[in-house]
Amino acid sequence: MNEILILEDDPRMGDWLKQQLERRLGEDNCRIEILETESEFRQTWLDEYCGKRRPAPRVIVIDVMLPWTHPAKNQPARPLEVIEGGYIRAGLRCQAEIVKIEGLKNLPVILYTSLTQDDLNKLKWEESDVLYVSKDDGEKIVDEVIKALAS
Amino acid sequence: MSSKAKNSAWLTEFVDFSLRCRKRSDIALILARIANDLGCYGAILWELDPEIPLEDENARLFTAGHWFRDGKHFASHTLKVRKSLVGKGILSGEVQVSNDLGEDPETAHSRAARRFYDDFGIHACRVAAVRPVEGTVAALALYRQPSDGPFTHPGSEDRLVSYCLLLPGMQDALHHKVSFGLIDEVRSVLQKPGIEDRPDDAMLDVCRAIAKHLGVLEASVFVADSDTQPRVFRLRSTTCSKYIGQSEYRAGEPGLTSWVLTRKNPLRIWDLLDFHLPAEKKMITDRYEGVDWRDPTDAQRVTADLLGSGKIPPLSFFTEPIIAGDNLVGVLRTCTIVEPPPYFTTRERSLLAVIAGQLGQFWSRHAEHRLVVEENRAWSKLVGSINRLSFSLNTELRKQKPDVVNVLRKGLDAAVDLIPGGDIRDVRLLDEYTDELYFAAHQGLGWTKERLSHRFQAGKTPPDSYGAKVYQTSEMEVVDPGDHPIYRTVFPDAKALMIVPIRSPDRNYGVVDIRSMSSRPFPEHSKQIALLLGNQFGMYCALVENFAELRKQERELTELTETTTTAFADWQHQIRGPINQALLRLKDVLRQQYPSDIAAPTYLRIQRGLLAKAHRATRSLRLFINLATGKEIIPRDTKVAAGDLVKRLIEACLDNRILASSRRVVDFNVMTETFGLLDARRLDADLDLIEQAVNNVIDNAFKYSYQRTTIEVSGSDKGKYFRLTVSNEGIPLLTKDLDKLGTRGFRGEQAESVVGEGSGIGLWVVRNILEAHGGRLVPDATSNGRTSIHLELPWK
Repeated sequence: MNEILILEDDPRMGDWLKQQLERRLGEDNCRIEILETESEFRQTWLDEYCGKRRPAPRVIVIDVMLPWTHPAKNQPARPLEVIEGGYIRAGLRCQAEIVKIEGLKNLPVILYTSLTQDDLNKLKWEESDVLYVSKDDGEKIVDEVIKALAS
Repeated sequence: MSSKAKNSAWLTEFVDFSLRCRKRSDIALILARIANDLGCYGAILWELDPEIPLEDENARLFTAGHWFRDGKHFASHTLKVRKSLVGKGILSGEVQVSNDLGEDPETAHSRAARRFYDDFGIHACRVAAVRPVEGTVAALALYRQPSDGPFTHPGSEDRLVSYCLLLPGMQDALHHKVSFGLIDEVRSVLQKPGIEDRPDDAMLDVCRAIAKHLGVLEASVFVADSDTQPRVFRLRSTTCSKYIGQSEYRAGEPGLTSWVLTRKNPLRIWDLLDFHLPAEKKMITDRYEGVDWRDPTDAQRVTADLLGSGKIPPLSFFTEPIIAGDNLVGVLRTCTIVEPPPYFTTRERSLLAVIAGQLGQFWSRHAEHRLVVEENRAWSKLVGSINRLSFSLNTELRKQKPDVVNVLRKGLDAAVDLIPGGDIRDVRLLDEYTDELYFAAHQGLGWTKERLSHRFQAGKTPPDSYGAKVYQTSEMEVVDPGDHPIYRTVFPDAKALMIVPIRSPDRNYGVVDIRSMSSRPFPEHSKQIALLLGNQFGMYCALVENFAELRKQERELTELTETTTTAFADWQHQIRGPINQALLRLKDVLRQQYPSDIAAPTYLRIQRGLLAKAHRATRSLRLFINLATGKEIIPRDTKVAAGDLVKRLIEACLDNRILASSRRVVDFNVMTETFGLLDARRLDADLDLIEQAVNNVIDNAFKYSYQRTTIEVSGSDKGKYFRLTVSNEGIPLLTKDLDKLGTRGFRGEQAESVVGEGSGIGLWVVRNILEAHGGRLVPDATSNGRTSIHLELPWK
């Protein structure tokens, strides 16, 4: 089973990616989970993974810009690095968390964004092993996920 | 037992027996019963050939059923009325008897009759006319061999007459069973769910049902494909491919099937060796070179070879035209009845006509269904195409010098899937220096340098080309290119041409031409899609043009914005928003799978929506550029009607709903009744700008609303101002932030936690729009959990 985790706040993009991947991989051959906020991933998903309540996916796909949370009366408080770094670095923070965890650190992670290379340079983002794809090239994101699953 | 009781006993038994018969060939069992009862060697039920009236010298009879004690099959199948004892019985209406057929004056001169008597060892015959039913003329003939003894006078005549009275009723009952069985089976085939998608399966099953119930060797359906070759009728299904000499026919050609196509009339031939169309007969006989069809032995050898059977039926031919509406769509052909009786009666011929009618109805349904499927597929593909085109557009917009032709070329690629028959496609754009339309992009077959060099005057009055006419009027044209000297020269093979304008709300850029090599007219939905493509292309032209301008000002914009890293991405986000929303709405509608009858108006509505969105996108872009470069916003003030404003407010709410994640449960309530006051007092404003402003406020309210809350939009009179209020329950707006709201780049502290894209531009734009109208943005700090933003516009 191809388990894929997608972090994407825009439902259009999330749905589109899911649909394309299901079409390419076969609906019965993949399980795709979409998270829409940074806090969902960092505070819920990772907690559950570390508590062995959910398995590791085979690929993680992350949109660079993510909101911290959906509005709620008791919404989770923002950590200092979120207040300072802003939503624009949310995906990068998620990726940084992934590499800290033993069972996830070797997973292929695909980051995509609508930011230009200039914008990314200004963010002083070191690409390291993470694959960066332009959000405008949706087909390429799908190709990269398929490639990562095959490797 | 009294004689009356005995009489009614044989009658009851006969009727009971006959009514239990089910198959067409069971007529032989009924005849056997009569022959045995009356001590005869055999019986034949003769019917008049309905093609030739009884009064005609050539009137003849054919066997509607026969039975012989030793299982022999009848060798000669037709009989002249005026040269037979049977005919005499029919003509006179009296029972005829002959105990020495060899000497009978009625048959002595008929070689065929003598051969029949010799072959079957028959010497005596008794004939009685059968009561006519539905115009049929028939007679029952009983035959005896010498061992059966002669017929006595009057002998069992009473009982023979009784049988003749009953026989038509029994025959009818049998026919009804066969008919109902066949029609039921055909109906169930043609009404299977989803069968419209598999017309060949349906027609093959119908052919098989005909073969089974009527016992024919060949049942075939030939149909023309109206899309490709409407005049060529091709074999679509058959029960006997071995028997097919020719797999396609055209009207006007020689041959029996073509005869039906030419005249749109049925053709019934009882025996191909004995029919009255000399040319067709010659063609049939010519197909089998070396066979002497006048020699029954030779003919039988050939038919035996064809049928692979020793039983030689006559080569019959029954073909019914299949008509759908007023159009001939095909023919249903049956050839050679292999199960006795070897001839169809009038009843079976009518049955074939009914089935041909059902096939005609089915074909109409299939054609309609195919159109709906094609239409749905085209609209679904359109969504995919627009998606792909959006990516192409985005890629192009990222370039320093975006070129719209690159996007349009991809758009033409997409058109091939969207418009069936759109074989040759091109975009002609205006060359502003020469005022000519030139081929800027082209796809499809047959392009040459010479063709591409053609140019068309754009501004001439009256226009001297269809392209110029479309360019000038912005109205789509569907024309026959053969009518125009230039188009005829450019593409002599093109049979149909659609020309749609490429335009944005503000200007015309050129035209899209879609040519078809097929003679099938473009379906209505293809025209709508072509129009939509033209509109999309116009939008792309406008966007690329404006983006090129925007690029020039990028540096200035970056200086103006506070969040420099995302300046351009934010602009793009703001501009693309309306287009994406329109696309999503289109997708949403397509997902609903509306029935076909309401689909077209829905698509048209979407198309209008897309146009409006493109219009707004273009205006928004201009607005942003003006604002960012310090230029003034100049509203186009017109009277605002309550209905128009409410409609746009509802649309804005819908857009937000569609864009949102399914996990966001937030409702909208446009309080329609509160806007009624606009009809009583005059408010002048630019509705497009107001919509842009309200959209931004609703968008904000939605972003910051808690789950399971409602955003309310209402109108009120606030003294000098008309007040439009958007209120929501969510992230609070603090009193300390009120003054800064509407300042460029400002976002409330709390807002940072929940919002992804955006950098505090939305309310700044709103404030500017309102101020351009002499109005103002008035935010209220959150109280009782609700936050309200008021947009105030001065009354006239």
